[in-house]
Amino acid sequence: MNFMARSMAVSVAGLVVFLFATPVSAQSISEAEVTAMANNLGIFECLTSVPLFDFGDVDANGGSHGTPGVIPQGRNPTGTGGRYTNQPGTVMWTCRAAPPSNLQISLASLPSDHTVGTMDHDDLEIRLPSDPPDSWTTGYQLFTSNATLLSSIPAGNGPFEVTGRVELRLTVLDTDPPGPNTWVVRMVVTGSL
Amino acid sequence: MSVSVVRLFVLLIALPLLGAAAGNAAQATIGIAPPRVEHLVGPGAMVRDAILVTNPGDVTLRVRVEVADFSVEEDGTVVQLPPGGDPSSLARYLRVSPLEMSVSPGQRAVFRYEVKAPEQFTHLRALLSFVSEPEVPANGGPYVVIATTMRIPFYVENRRMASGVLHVLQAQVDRGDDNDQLLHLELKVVNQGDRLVRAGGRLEVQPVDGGPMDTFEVNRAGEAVLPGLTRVWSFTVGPVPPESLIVGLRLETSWRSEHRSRHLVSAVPASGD
Repeated sequence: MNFMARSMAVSVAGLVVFLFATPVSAQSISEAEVTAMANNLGIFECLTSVPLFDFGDVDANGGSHGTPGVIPQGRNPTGTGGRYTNQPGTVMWTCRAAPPSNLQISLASLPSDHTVGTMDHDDLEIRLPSDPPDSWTTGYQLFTSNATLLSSIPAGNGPFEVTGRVELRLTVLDTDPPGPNTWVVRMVVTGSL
Repeated sequence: MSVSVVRLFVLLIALPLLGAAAGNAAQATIGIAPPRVEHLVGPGAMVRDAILVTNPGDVTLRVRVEVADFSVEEDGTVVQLPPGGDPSSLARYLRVSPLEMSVSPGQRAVFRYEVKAPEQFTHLRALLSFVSEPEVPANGGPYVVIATTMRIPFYVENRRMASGVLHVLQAQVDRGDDNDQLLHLELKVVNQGDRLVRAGGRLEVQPVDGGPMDTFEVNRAGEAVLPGLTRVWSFTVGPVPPESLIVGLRLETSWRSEHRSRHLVSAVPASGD
């Protein structure tokens, strides 16, 4: 076979291979196609270690009744009642966000949040530690004050989640009538805009 | 009395006590997904979707939804306003159902919503609050209930309106007051467009005398600047070298424009100066 005939034969063979190969390869691509879908919901989550803190039995002497997590403080400085605080670390909160977010966190309360009871609503006070941990954003705030005790903080997920604690101080006045009481402390967390 | 009867008696006494102890150590957790809602629609469009509330904790929570207007101050503080009063209020076009639900541990609750966009609007927004409270026992106490309210923004914008456009009013870069190894960026911007902007950006830091360039993200959280509002951002990045620095700021001001500026930051004074 001379050079012309040989190259023509190669070209024809190549064309045949191409014609047959094209639909086969197209079919194999179609069969190999995988569609992956995922809907990322994001994360915006807050946890409270003790959603319901129980001071237990208290009185105007501020004496011990053996309730776990409560520190009896005896009489208050003005001599008008007894005080109790929660042990640091008993009421913790944690917030996490993904994508990372600038959370605005505040502790607030309204007079109407003293839902049940005989004691005055401002017998309860709250405070939040600041950074460094031994300093305080503010001192104890009266329960009636609508104070923002902590504002914008960056929050992420995993090691970048943010954690804090709430400290409570209850004063039982000599004039408070005996009976059960419930206060609601509102932790308001606003996600990133 | 046989041993088994004693064991049964002890078990009957101990179980409630164990339950009480577990109750004391209980955790209340609430998760909201998505962390914000954003819809770009045409005039008169109807949007239906849902917000998921999960309770991965171990107490049952009563979850209540509240809708309010909101504005944002220059420092980013979100100010909640009564629903329906603000010109950009979404409250009158938004329906959420149900408005209250009890969510057991491990359960996921679905709050469906429906928005009927008006024929004429540019940007509508609302603040959705998910107020969760544990159930309070009838007896005992005094109790302090820690109720968590999680608030997410909800935006509906008109796709026919102009995109948001940021204008940089002021950009200042200095070393940190407390730590001169950190850089502090003070950025004042205003959104002059009709829709919100999520401006991403970066600081490119390089010693004046040359050397490797460090890059730091700005507004990593993708925080939005709402139309017509001014926002002052403070970002702290680092660590950076102690020598004199040239700092380049690049900030996306819209989907097709970028702000660029260069700032000179002086060297940290040598100790003893």
